[in-house]
Amino acid sequence: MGTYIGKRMLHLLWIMLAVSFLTFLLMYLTPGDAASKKLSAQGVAVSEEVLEKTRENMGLNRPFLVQYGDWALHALRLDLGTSYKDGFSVTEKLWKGLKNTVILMLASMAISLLVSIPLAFLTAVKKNSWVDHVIRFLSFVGNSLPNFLISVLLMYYLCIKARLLPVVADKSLKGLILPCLALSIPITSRFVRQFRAEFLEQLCKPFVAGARARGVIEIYVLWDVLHNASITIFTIVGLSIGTLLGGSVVIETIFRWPGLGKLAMDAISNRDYPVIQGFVLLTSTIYVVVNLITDVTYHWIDPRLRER
Amino acid sequence: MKQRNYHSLKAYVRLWIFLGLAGFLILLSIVAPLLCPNDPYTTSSEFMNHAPCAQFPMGTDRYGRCICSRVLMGARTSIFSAVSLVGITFFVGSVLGLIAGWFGGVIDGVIMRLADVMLAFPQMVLAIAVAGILGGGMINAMLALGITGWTLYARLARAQVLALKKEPYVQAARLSGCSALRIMTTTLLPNMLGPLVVNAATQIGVMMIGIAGLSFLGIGVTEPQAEWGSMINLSRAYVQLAPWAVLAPAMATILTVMIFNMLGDSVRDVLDRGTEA
Repeated sequence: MGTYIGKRMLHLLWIMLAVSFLTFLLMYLTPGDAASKKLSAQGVAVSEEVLEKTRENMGLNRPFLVQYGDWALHALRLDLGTSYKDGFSVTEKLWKGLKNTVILMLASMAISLLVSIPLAFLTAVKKNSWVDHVIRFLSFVGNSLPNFLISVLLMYYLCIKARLLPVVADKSLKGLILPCLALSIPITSRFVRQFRAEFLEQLCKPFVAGARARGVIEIYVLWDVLHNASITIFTIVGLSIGTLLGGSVVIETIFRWPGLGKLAMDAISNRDYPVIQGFVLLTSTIYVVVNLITDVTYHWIDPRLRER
Repeated sequence: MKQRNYHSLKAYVRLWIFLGLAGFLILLSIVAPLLCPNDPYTTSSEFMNHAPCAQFPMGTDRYGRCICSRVLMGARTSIFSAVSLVGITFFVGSVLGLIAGWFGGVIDGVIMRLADVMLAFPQMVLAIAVAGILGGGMINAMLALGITGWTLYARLARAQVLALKKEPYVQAARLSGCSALRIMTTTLLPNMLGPLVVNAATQIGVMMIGIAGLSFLGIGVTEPQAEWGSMINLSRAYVQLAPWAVLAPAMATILTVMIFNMLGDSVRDVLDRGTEA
């Protein structure tokens, strides 16, 4: 177990190095030079003299690798530079956004799990009945709906037609409902399909037949099935973090939820490169670390893998 | 080869039905210009946000453009870009995976490490960043999604090659002096195509959603080019006045993605039942 974690940590280190390099390269390769971008983002009239001075201040006259090294070392100290737009620290901006995004993601994940596990159980136990067919069809439809479409349709029917909810998500619980729904519907749909397959596999195992033959109450049998399936569920949840991160950008932009995604979209429309850079680096770090935790926990939960 | 599954006739019928439907959609997108009742790009101040009528079967948007024609032309953009994006990533990824698996060593290391790094970015996040920086356009949106898209096929192809390498018939081909290129194309490729095609088929819907999502955010296909995602984005502010301008492209997107997803599912049902649900 120790060597496994060690190996994974080493892997993580080099992946993060490569990720940070690519992130930096991406911004470096953007057309136009950073000094004029910064000045135009601030709305300053550009003269050659000012440009040269800004270039000097930003250290743009140094070789590429030196610039990268400088940026990466600062990033390690959680200093991602300042926003071109308003000069605020990028780290602070990201931190504020992150808190809101985490709230949104956790709430959506909780909804998804609370809905999908019972539904998946129902479809697995009542396999090939009409209940199974209806839920599977709905989950198929949900899986085919782009999240921006769900948002717009929900907004139209719930906010404008029925006037049940506010259009712009304020920080109240009511404001959180729509973004969470929009974010969790596609994920719930996918979970139902994946969990159903896992539950079906578990239900075919001899321990289920044995327990049923001994007259164990069905609810206990299902509890054991859930227990056995928990490793798979855990992995599937871990893997869906990427979808959540990507989806939250769209959802936050639509509902004006002040999270990371909205920050990133605003930064894109303002050509505020340090913020975009920080956003890509932060989300990738979250993604990679969550994947690592999932893998390590997987090895830790499953005794068969632990012994190796 | 894994043991062959015997498939019910139903699975084949389903596959043909959805192949037919998808083919019909592709055909529709090709002949779209002939079917448009109006010019999809002509704006008109008289018919702004006009309700569906005889002249405009699905109404008009805020610039007075015919929604029906734009939805038809949008089919072209959405279907063409998704199918060709899957085609390109499928080809590039498979070839790279094939090379990595067959030659091993340094080449394998470089290709697969590159794939590892690309997989460290959440796909949509990287796509948004890349498309945002490149500044929109269909090609840029495709590029943004393709950067991570190829890794799926590369990993799969490599795993297949590593498994097939040990097969006697591959060894035989090698011993009889076939060139690497010949072994790859005539011996390996036909035997590993199944899972790759299954994944490609299921990816069409995913890519369609991705491209529409980028366009919706304003960093994919941009106005005035007709595309469903950007049409929905343009009209959503006026949804109270002209709900048809949102609902028509929305329904088109849902139906198209569903048909291609169903196609993906039925391809999987026929070609292999072993992969994840």
